[in-house]
Amino acid sequence: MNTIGSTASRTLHRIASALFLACVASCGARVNLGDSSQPPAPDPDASPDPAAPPTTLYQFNQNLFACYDIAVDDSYVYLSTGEPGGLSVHRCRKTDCAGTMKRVVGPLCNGCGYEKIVVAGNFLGLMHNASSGPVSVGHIDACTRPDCGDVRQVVGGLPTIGDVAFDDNRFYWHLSPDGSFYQCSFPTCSEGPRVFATGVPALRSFAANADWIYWVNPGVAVSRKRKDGSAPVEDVILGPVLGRVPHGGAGVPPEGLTVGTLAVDGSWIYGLSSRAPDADAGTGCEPSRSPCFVVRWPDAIGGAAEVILHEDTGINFRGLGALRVFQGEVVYSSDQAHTCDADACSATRRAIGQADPDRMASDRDYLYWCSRTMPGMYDTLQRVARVRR
Amino acid sequence: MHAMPNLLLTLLFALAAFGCGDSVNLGDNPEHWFDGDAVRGGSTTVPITMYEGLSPATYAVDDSTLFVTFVEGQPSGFVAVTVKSCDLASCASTVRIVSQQTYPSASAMPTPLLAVAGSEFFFQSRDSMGAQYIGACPKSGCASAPRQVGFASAPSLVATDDAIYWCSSSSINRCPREWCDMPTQRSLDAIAHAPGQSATKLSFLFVADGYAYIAGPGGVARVKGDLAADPDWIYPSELPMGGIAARGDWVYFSVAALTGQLLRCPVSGCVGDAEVMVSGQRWPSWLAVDDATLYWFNFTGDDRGESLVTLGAVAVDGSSGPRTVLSKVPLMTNRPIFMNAHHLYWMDASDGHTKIRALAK
Repeated sequence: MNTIGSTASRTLHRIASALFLACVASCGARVNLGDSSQPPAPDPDASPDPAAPPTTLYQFNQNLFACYDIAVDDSYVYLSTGEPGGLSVHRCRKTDCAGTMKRVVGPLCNGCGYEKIVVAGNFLGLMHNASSGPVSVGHIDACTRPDCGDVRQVVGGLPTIGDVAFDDNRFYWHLSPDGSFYQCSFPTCSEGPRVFATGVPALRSFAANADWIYWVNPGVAVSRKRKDGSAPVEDVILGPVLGRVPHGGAGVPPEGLTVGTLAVDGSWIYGLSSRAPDADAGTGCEPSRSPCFVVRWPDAIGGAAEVILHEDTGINFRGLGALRVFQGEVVYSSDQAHTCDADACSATRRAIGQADPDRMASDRDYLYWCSRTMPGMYDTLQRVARVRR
Repeated sequence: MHAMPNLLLTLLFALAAFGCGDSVNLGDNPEHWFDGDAVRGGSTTVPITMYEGLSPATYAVDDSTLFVTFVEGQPSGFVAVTVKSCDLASCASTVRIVSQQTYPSASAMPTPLLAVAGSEFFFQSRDSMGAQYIGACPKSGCASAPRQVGFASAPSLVATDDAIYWCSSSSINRCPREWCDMPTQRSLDAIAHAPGQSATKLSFLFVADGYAYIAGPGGVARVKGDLAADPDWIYPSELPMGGIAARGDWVYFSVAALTGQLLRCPVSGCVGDAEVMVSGQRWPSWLAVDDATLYWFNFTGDDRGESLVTLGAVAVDGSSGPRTVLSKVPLMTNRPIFMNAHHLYWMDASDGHTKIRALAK
């Protein structure tokens, strides 16, 4: 498999190189080499049809062989990448990605790459979270889009970072050893970190929207806190309606669903569940009891739950995995990744192949992702038109 | 089958002064002892190196003597646990072996613990049947088998003039230093659990003035030294604790977080919030306090992955603000720190060399 994959990759690389050189020779000034001063060019590959198959924008190869996370802005796709010389961040234009791929950060040492890239205002927010010897040294960095010539550490020397969420001018992160969330201004953190919430020693799932930070404590309710700190942490009950329990209370079944994977989007809370909100405890997804429901609740207390999808529970069903929601478009994985319009999921559901929802980004028109590949195979960067526009 | 050929080799000879004085020689000899005076000498800003070389398993200090435990594998597969001691005033010229025991394998070896109080030092050992016990030897060295204080498997030891204490996952244990058939035990369940969490761990134990002070995920508490009564809360908290120390009317503790604080409460407990002595620290840990000064270590971290720390200090009477005493200390974070009447002690490691260091107060 490795040999076949490498050979195929090398062949593709040769073809791409030849096409690239031919284009350089024949097209002259029309070639976009990724310079940020160049305006976006028309995208001949872009199909607005959500029924069209995904387009491969870039085939990773032996010279640029990994994609750890992805972010997009109006013009560019940003990728946390691996190269023979070290780890790095690359960007390419959405139009002619392969021809405009450009390293903007790095090469960094092995183990120094970024696990998370997020577009935040005029900047990229970058999270590094690797262990180095006996000490885990995490840091959160920033750089100015699109060229990232000023990458700098915003907060560093951290133990393992559970996760991070960026706003345009603020960011929030979790440190497991501290059992706490912190917050600071972005991109400078000039005032120093501040405690956002405490008593969260383990983090199972984490999500943020414009107003709230949500998290799932193993064995405890889903909790949330307003980003502006105007109210204390509240534990919510994910039942037939969204309920509230006092902080530290037991918002767990039978009062509500246990949701291992959480996503928020706009004013909706989404979760993967192994039973419906109005079902009796003990009934639900058979035979594996793995999650088979995608459920959502309005974020206002008292809002009624909606089962937006009940997946097949056949003998080969292995349960729903990752869950992301991008401006009303739900992405989840089972045997492969699927997306749908949250308001009409069953009717609009479509498969998009071996996409990794955790390495996915969206703009107004398209979803972008790095594919899940077999060991020894190279990732691909792909794109498909959104169902929900 | 389980009989353990526990060969006790207690040697009571003073070794020839094989230390290196003030000149470090990292040649064939894996141990280098130094003669700096860690009683009356030294600086308050530049630490003295007392030992450098083979990494000790643990160590302990009282006002006059340093005890160091070494674990060494032998060609036969046996493991030797050796305790050496030296006078703090002139370590290199007084270093001696005060206890040596061998075990058939590393897995048969008890956790190397060390504590010193009064005229004896204490450690964990195994008897000929393999049972773990807390043993004691005179500070001058064991002339025969260690004196058995009590059968127990302790993860840590604190010795006082009256008793030996240790914490298990959710309780404190006490054995009079003379002997106990069964240790006295007192549950500290509320301190061992963070609210809503099932994991238990009592992180820090400090014994002073007839009380044992304990910090854990649930906060800080104290219990009478005889463990005859339930513990009293000093400060309930869900924040991670980094250390505890008590002196006079106050108990000091730290919140080991990115936005860490040094706090204190009256020994009888805080009414309301604890007093914030220092804020804006990074995971302040390993506290030590005397009548004048509270010391702690800050974990600054850096991108090279080294666990470099700073030593901070603040006057307990508020007469001066916090200050950084030392920077870039490669502290061994899994070894204790000690403070006696005249110096502060810790272990650090850099470039593969482990050191025991002393800083004058």
